[in-house]
Amino acid sequence: MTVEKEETKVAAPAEEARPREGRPAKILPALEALLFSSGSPIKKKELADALEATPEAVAEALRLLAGQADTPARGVRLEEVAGGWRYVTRPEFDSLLRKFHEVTERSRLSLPALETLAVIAYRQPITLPEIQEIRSVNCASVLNTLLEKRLVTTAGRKAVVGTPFLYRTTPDFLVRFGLNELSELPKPEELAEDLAATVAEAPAIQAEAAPAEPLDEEDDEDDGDDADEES
Amino acid sequence: MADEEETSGLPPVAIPAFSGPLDLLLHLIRINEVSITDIPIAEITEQYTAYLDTMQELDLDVASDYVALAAELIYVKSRMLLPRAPGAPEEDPRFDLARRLQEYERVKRAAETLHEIDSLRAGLWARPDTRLPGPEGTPETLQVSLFDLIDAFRKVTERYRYSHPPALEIHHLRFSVADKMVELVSRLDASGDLPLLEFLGTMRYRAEAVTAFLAALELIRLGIVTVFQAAPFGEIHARRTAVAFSAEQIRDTYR
Repeated sequence: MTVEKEETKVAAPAEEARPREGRPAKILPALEALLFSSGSPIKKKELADALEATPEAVAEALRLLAGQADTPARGVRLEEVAGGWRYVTRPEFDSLLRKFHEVTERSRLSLPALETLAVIAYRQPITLPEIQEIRSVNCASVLNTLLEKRLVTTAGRKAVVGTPFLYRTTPDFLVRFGLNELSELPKPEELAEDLAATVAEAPAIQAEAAPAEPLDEEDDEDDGDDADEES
Repeated sequence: MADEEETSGLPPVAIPAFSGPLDLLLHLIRINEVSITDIPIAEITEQYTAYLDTMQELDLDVASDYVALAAELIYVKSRMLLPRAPGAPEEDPRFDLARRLQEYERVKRAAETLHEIDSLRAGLWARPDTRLPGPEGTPETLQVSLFDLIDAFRKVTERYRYSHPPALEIHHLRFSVADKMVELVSRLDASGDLPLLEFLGTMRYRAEAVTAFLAALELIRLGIVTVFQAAPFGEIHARRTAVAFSAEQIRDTYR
């Protein structure tokens, strides 16, 4: 018994002896290595845990890294998507990369597929009959395409007659459409506004503003998270 | 999509790709420059069905969903023509259709936005999802959905079918009296007494039954087997006689 007690006593200070790294500059190279190693977005929490750093330090380091990469002098930039961070190439190198990797065609979503995806995105979770009610078209095969592309997935069954499957969008959907979370979907009211304006702005948002803007918001959130952890 | 056709109310020769009947209806509303909430039903229905006629010539299959909406349009049109029953609530028969069209228009806009984003983001390359070397022996956890499992199962069964084609069995139906004699004798040796007709009835083929019958006759002729009947028209029973003639001996004799 006494031995056990001693052990717990020893263990507690040991954790305190290794406080989380608070200096952004210190974790910057390791952070870059982590992000480089992964094709799918890594969540800030995962980064902080891996680096044994404070969320603030990670947020600041991400901001620094994103800032460094956000220049025409670099070929890749850091983007925040699906709740995480990852490196992507700059859009202007698309044709170069396609030529090099001999990618001639890219899988495009058909108009019916996009409509079905839009219905699911805005109304999730939703059943196939409900989707078909909105589109007035049989959507079964289109839905299968979306399932195969992993843009949507099942989300249980609806407790109605026949217990049809419910469908929702996946993290892959967020990544593909550059959304950090579902709430970032354009609002229906915004959609009613002039679409051309949104489209014209979109490249700028994608290429430049995106890495910097969400950071500020995230910082505020993180302060809240951190307070919780410490208490 | 249809700037050229704007002035003429007639269906154009070239049919733009519509994603569904509501898309076509919206298109007609747009080129006629009318409001969704105040559709001139008679005109639009006429144009819509004219479109369908053209479309049906091209692709019957696609048209089934379209026909359903045509029927709905005609129904709404008929309700517009009917005088309202006195005292009945004033209600626009087009209301439900207008609501659905508005809803669909939102979906269409959202789909267009998604398409724009998709085209833009298609030019962004992320690192391919390569498996980085992991410590050996650690089982990797895979994220699999129900569909992955179904897909995997389908592939496995397909592969099995390809590598195991159903064997084409060719039976050469040939029965020998000797074999049947051996069979009958060994059955009698085991049970002592055998209902003969029942035994013959278990044969799967006519030729087999005939062979077995001949075998029985041969055994009776040799005096190895005797048959008896308990009652007229009753079952004929077979029984071994005292003559010692084993199955092996039969096999040796009738080769």
